[in-house]
Amino acid sequence: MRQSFEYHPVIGYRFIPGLKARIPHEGGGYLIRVNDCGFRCERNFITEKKPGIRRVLLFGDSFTAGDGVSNKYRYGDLLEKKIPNLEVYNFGLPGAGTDQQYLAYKEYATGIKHDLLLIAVQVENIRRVAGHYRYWLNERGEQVCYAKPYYELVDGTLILRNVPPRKEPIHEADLSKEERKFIAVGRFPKLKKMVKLVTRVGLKDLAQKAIRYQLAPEYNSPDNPAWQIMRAILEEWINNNRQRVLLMPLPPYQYVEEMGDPSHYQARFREVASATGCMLHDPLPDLLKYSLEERRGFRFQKDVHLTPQGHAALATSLTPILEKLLDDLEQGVHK
Amino acid sequence: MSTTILGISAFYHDSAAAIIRDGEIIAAAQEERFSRKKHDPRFPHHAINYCLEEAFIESSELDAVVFYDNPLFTWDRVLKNCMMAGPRSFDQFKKASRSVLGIKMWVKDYIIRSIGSLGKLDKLLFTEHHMSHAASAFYPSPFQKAAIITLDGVGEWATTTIGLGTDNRIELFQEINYPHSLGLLYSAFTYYCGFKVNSGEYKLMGLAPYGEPIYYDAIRENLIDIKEDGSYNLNTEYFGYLDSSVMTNDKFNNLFGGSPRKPESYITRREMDMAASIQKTLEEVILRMALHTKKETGADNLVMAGGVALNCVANGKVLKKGIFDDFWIQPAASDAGGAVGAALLVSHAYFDIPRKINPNGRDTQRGSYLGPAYKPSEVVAFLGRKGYPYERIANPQQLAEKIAQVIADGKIVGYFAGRMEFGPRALGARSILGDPRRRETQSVMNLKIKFRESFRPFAPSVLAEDVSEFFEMESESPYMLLVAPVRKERCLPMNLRKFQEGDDNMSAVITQSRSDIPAVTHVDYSARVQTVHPSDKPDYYHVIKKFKDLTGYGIIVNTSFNVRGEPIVCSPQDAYRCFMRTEMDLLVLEDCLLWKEEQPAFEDTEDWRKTYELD
Amino acid sequence: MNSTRDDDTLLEVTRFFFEELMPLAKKLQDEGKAFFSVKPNPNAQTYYKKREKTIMHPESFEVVGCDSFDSFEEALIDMWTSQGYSELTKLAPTLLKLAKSLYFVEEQSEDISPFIYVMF
Repeated sequence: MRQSFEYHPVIGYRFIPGLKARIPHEGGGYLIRVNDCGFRCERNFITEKKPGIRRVLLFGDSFTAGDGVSNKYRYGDLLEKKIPNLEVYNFGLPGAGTDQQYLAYKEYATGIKHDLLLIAVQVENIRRVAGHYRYWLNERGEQVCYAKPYYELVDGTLILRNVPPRKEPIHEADLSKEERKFIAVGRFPKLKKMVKLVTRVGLKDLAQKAIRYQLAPEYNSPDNPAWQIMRAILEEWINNNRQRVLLMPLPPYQYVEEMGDPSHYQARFREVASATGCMLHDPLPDLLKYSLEERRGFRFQKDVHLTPQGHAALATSLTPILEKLLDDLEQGVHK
Repeated sequence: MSTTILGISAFYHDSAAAIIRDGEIIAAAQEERFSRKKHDPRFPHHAINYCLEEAFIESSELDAVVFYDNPLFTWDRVLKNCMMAGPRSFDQFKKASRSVLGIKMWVKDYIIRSIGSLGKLDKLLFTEHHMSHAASAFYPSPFQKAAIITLDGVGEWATTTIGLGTDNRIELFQEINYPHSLGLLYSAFTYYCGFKVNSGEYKLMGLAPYGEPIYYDAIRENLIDIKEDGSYNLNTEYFGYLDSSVMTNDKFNNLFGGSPRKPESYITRREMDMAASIQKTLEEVILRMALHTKKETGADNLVMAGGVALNCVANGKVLKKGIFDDFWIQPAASDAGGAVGAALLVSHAYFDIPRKINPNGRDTQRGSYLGPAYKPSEVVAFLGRKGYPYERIANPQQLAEKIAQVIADGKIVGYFAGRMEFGPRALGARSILGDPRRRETQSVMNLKIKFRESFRPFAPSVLAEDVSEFFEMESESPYMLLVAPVRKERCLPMNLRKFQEGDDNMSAVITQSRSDIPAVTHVDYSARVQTVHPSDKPDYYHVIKKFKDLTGYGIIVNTSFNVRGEPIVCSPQDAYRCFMRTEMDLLVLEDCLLWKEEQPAFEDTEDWRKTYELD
Repeated sequence: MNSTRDDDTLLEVTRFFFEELMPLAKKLQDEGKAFFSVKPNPNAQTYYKKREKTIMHPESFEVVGCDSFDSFEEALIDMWTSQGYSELTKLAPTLLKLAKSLYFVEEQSEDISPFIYVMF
């Protein structure tokens, strides 16, 4: 398999600019095309906007970058097909936290003329925001740990750390016991062993449903330190952007398949929207309108990323909201 | 609307995939290059992935997917063979039932699991094994009409076929069937001489010039009956492949005076003479067969495929004989090429797509540079992430000049540039390069770089326009499939007295200068030539051209970029690893130059001598 | 495949080979029938055989029997009947059973979390 990412001195990494590749996958494999800025977008990023074209800057992680599906099946690309005269600049970066997505925005997007900034926060991203390190696979399929940039909140101010992040892998053993807590695992460490056990016996979904799986307790309280950083990043990002912002929490499958209670994260994102005045779109209610069988088909058999059906459902949920927002903007309803 | 076909060969040896669009070869690659397992016979997941990547197509958008042979007929042969061989064939039946009945028969399920779709047809197509070979030889050839010969170990039943290609149409009208197989006969000698079947045949051919064909009569009298028309039958009493997993049996051993040579043991005069004898036999069959085919078809040109067609010494004899005006051999002549042939056959015979012949008179194999390329940005991303020091020379002329200078200084260069070759030969995309004028180049490359047997010769890459300056040869040989004599005026006399008197030590012969290009001159003053044309591979052509500017010699040593037993490198990561494991001096990764002495100590996480089974 | 299944399959293969295939082979041999020659024939003019099917027509790309177990048994019977080896057709039901037991499509590794990306 080809190397897909290269080192980036601020964000930590990005796709290799100009890359065209096919990634083997349980879904049959998918095609990726990377633009000359190092993002998985069919378009090269141009500062100026053509007259009559509406442009959305889309940020997110692998769910937005489209792990598991070819570019054309992603919800961002589907929006372009559904909404006339729309350009979506997809800045989705797999494995990235909201902190790195914000850094990508600052590095590459601030000068780009646009009508709307769409920040798609995969709910689990909060763990990455809290992390200072992250595991990756090397060419031999071994897990290696790399440093990532991160923010600290000091007296209400976001301080960027670990920039430039170290290029070389870090041995976990070389980290202090305290620092080891900041290795982002991406998933749910407390329940990891249980999940492993029930996965082995094939009862994972059932077990999660039975216990109304608490996926990300970081959202339980507005005072949670991880959430505070996340919120600060989102607020700074939204407030610094001159155009309208649409904030969209992307629910992991556990919520889509009703194995968990989403109210905690929903409350937190409402708080951000209320504090910043940005628009909020929660696609979960729309997704829940599909039958459970259909919703199960929104993710792959083993990989939890969105299938083409999942992306299509998300695009269907977003389209009327986005269309109205863009029309209103054109007519000067919003600033 | 274009028509895109995916071809797959698998489950015997050299699994591969190819993709054809409107009759044009877009991509082809062997699974071994990605899996790093030599001659990998497993389902070619990675090669298929690469082909779809190169064509940048969804599997669901493929017009058809085709498998290169017919598993049902293969099973028919397996079963009947065991019935003929009797109870002794039980072990063979056990193995074959698992691999054919359990796996190969259900290749469709592998495809769906791997890429999720069988394309728009939603059913898997199959060709016949030798039809795939024939198509791989004829369709990419430069000929509107050509006679066809395919020769290999065995397909479903056929081992040899003869036919004619005209425009879109391929007709195979004669065949020889299992168990009578020239490929299996040659493999039996390969095995007996201590080399690995399905890979060591090439070594046997290289060994032949050291020996005398003293066993030729024994072979003709006991093992094979060759008719005037080149058709042949074997006496299977001497072979093990009907009822066991080894190629020869006691009767064979007794005929040649003892047990097979143990792999890796000292090579004696007997092996050299065996090699010379079977080579002579093979050449005789092929020459007669070529004459017969000419008579049957009346065609001016000949195309060939199947593993036996890789015997470039025999090919050179056919060419020299002038039976046909011209001929073309599929460079991936073994089963890997079946993937290309099957997909081409479906394009032309199933979808009736007109065949496009190259108007400039050259073939449509595109130099066989059909594998993956890695952009400089990908190379830099790899080197940057790893922190490996490199120098970048973006100007192609300066880059070629620098590389040529390094070679002229006697250094050994790992050269990684552009799309990887399809087929067993490295043709300047994944090659190790050296100076052919230096006597020590052969031994340094064999012992310190390739870690392989010292008798094995290296091949030259020569500027196409200069080929007749060095060799008695006028035609092109872009795929290193022809052997030609080094020009007499360049040759130097050798002192063979001791060797001829019975001293088996080949090093006394190898170390002697045989010409002014000793590193590429075999003991019989021949060379396996690659001609390099500027339109096939401009970067490589320029390296040789610059070498000529510096030295007056438009020729360099070219050997595959790997160590013994390792598949040729595919990615920059593979190339770097191989570079660091050997005594190469410079690694060229696209436009990046890496000097060995500047690299950090290499932490090898595996013992490659164990990872790569000796070939 | 697990080892118990492997053992059962091997038993089936062994039983088929020695109890069905070999007795039939012996019977055919006793009747003087052979599927192929095992030795040269000095009297033959040529060893080339004329092929019955010389070109691939569109329909010849479709092989019945390799698409599912449902068609496999019938495909074997059709093949041997058309070849004039109707004696072999009685092996077909057991071969279908063996094919089902031996069926193996390798799984790709699924050990790695989808949230761990390839970096190198």
